[in-house]
Amino acid sequence: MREPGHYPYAPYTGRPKITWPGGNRLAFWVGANIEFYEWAPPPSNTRSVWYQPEPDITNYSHRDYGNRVAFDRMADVMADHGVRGSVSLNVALCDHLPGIIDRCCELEWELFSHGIYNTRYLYDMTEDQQREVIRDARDTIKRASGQTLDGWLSPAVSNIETTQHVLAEEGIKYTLDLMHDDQPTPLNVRAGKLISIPYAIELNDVPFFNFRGLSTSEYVTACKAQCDQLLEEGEESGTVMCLPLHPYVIAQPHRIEAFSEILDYICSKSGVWLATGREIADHFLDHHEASFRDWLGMDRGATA
Amino acid sequence: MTLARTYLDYSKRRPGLDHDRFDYRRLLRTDLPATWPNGKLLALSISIYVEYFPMDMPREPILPPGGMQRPGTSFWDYTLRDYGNRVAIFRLMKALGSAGMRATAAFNSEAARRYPMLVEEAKARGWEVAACGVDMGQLHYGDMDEARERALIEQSRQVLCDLSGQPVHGWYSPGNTQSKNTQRLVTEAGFEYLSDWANDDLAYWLTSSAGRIVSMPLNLELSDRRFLFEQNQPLDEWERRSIIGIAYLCQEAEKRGIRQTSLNLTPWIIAQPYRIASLKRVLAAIAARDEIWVATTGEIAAAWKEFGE
Repeated sequence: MREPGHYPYAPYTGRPKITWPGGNRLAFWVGANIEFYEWAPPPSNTRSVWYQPEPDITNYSHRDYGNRVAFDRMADVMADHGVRGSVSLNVALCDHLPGIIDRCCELEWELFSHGIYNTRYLYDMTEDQQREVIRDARDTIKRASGQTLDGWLSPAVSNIETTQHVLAEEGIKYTLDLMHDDQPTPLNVRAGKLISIPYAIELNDVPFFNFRGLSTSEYVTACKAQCDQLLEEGEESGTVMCLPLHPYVIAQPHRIEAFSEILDYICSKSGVWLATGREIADHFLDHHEASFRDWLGMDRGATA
Repeated sequence: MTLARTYLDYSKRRPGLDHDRFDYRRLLRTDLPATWPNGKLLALSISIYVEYFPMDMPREPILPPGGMQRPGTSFWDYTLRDYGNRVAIFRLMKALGSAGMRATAAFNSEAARRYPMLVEEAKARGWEVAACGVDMGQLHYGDMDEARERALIEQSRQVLCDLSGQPVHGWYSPGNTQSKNTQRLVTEAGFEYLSDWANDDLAYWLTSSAGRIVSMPLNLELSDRRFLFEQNQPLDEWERRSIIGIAYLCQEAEKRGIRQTSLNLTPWIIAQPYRIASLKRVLAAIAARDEIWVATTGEIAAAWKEFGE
């Protein structure tokens, strides 16, 4: 039977205790998907890129709203709350729209990679091809921001069987491609070391609003409840709450104030660590990863 | 399955966009006039889609929202869309009239041909008559034949000019779908603006080898078709979000310069008896704001070309 094979079963009970900096119970981070959709992408063998015969102007223009209008609106709200973003970046955007990257850097947001374009999937790639994509992403982010590439979300979550192994070999610290947990977990990779950070796909605004057609009011309720529950569980051992967002969805004029209300709520709670993906990964790697591996009877992992 | 090496070539990876349909503009970093010429902050148009869904419309290559989805001959779907042109549009006209607002009626020319009285009624109310193709069974898509598409655009324009006795300046693609050539052909046909793109809160120029045409923003997320028909979101949520979105744009315009939005409405959806009161409350919220300029899409396009460009 096929299965991911990236982690052993780890029940959500009896785990080594996670403590976050400052004695906080919940690590909260915003995954800001800043994406570039190609006007005329090459076809994929695995999925159709658009939903209608190209040009699919309805879906293209809906997404294009993000880079033209919504990004700055979202960034303003986050800056007002003192919340930094961790950018799931289609790195070609550094070449196309560098002004957006400049603002991310001014705001001290983390840049990690979401592939080159959101219209180029990892499906059917060889390991060398994936390696080329990762190295391109690393070089581009370094050139545009001076940052190291530490995190990864496969473009359009198109990761395949080999992806996590190649990520580890290329020195990526954390992946968001797996949705199996509310805490960071160490992964089995054939060389190097890789951990998973929770990405909370259930609260991702694209599936929530675009695919499932749920309401903004329900989203506000869901995000507050997610925060309450994970904070409560964080009493026992630190948890992670992610808001995986897209400017073109969350920063619509009719929805942006709901986002602000969600951040008001989360920021008002004591016990919340406002973090980035990289900060969560580093803390877990420095303080908890080894004890998780020991508890799970996993290999300690080679030092990369 | 191996992937061609060319899948990792990025020939359009360069500053700006990867196509030449329009230039990139970062709205919140663009110097804009503080107000529209009449001193208003937010220009708002009301676009009413007046449609004809043929009973035997094709399901391929695209079935538009509201297309004949039921198995067999769909009297249900056909007659409910027809309800829009018989009953609901009059209810909608009354609601807008009471609010003192004029709209742009985007006609499938076949709806206008079958029910010319609707064109007269729109004109009598000072509404703009715009073109929305021929009918919902003849969409503009992908690689469709150019000559056929040119003929559809011309048919739509001509029928509506003849019936209204006016030039027709606005184009809305039926079902909001375009072919690769629609923008150029609509520009060639002499239209002044096109309202299909959902990527901005202010007009901008679209360009092609035929020249420029104004893109007038489509409010996709709050269109009754997407919100109520496709997503089945609650009506009170539509009302609330519509009012909040408009208030937000007014507030943003006050700080950062003029903004624009639209209500994209479909009689057979929004003007059902149980929904119209919600629309009336949205219209009342709009009317209560002095900073909003409610005008036809054509009037706003003309103002933007003169002034805001």
